[in-house]
Amino acid sequence: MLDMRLISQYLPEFFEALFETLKVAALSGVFALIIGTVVGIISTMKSKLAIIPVGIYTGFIRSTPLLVQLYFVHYGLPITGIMLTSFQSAIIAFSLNSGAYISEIVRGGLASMDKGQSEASRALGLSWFQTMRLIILPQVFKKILPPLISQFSYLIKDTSLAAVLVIPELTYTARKIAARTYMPFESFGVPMLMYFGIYLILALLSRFISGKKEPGRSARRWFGFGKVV
Amino acid sequence: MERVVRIRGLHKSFGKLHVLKNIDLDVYESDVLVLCGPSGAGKSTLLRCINMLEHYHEGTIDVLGKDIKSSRANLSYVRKNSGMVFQHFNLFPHISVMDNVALAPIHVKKIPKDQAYEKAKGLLDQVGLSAKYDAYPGQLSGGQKQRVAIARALAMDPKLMLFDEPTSALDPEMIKEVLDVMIKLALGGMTMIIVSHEMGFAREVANKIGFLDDGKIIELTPKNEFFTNPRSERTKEFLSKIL
Repeated sequence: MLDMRLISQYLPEFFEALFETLKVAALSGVFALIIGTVVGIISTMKSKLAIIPVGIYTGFIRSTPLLVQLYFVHYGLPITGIMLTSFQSAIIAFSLNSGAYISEIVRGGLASMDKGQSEASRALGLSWFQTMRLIILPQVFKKILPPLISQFSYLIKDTSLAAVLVIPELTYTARKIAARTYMPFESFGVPMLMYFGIYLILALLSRFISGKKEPGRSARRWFGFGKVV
Repeated sequence: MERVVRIRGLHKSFGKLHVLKNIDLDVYESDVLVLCGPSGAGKSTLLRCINMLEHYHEGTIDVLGKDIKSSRANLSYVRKNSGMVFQHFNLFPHISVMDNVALAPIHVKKIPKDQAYEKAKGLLDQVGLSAKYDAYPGQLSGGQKQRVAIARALAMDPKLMLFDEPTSALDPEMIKEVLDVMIKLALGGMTMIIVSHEMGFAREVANKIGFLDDGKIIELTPKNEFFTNPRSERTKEFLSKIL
């Protein structure tokens, strides 16, 4: 049967590990969002000079395993003189990986925008940057919020790979506790429930947001874009 | 009278399709020029070249005394000082009607927000939308949307207004409310270039009418002459079909 005593004894440690998982995911998520937005915008440009590097980046990330990317950043890059802590390596690998996927989502969102929006902006004298910031991106982000959230939930699960770099996140901690207690069912069961809990929260959030009818409000609330007043 | 638009030798192609062929055009202050002609004649393309929403290949366009192709600063100046109204309104759906109108003055002209909103209110009152300050574009009818779009363009204090088939996407009963606003503008002395099929409107407020066919301006005459004494056979044929 379940050893509740053991669970409660290790619960603080699990929560600490959960916090670490969320920290890695949140930091990577923010960087990935920035990378994905920039790359996504570049990928809609006409110039080959812009598209080719972007295509190589997304193609390469999507066609190689995340675990290998993680190893490459941490153990491969030091040869070039770039020394990274395992935490930094994890953030870089996860950001680059998730960023590639997010860029595809952003690109799709941009492609679905009515051309009239940017034409009206340009006709009013807005700069390209203002058009993006005030008109295009707020609408795009509102539209792509559900796939972004699901991408983020993949990212959270992917952070379990950080265990191989001895980062004290949920999966690493579970392995450690399992080895210490010889109770793998409880040791891995608790993190499973925790991962599931996060996923559930994100899924509900996604549903809550996409259920919103009022135009513009949700994107503005979550990202602060498009704020005019 | 000051010249607002001067076009010389304008050519424009979409791939192999030669849509504008050697266009010359002058528009003077307070002119209300209606461009008409069969679809595919190049009317909208010509209009969209004036603020360079379409790039053109040959020729020069000077607007408000600036060659729009020669520098970014010139183009930017022309866009800030001209307004455009589109067939499909192109309002910004994620912000309120007020924000739609106040956005460009705030971000392009850097006018203080309270002043910009004060002005936006005035303009919305002027186009008969006092009750809709806080509405979102999605909550408006087509005619209301187009009136907001006009207010949005006017908020920049344009010296020239470009209308690209402003009533073509509207239900017949909403056309009048938009035309009324445009008539008021014309009577107020605004320089306007209008691509339109509304010959009734052209008759009422235009002072010049340009007839385009196959990428060329076939005829550009004062209004009365256009309707009563068209010069070219092609214009006569067109008029006999639509009137």
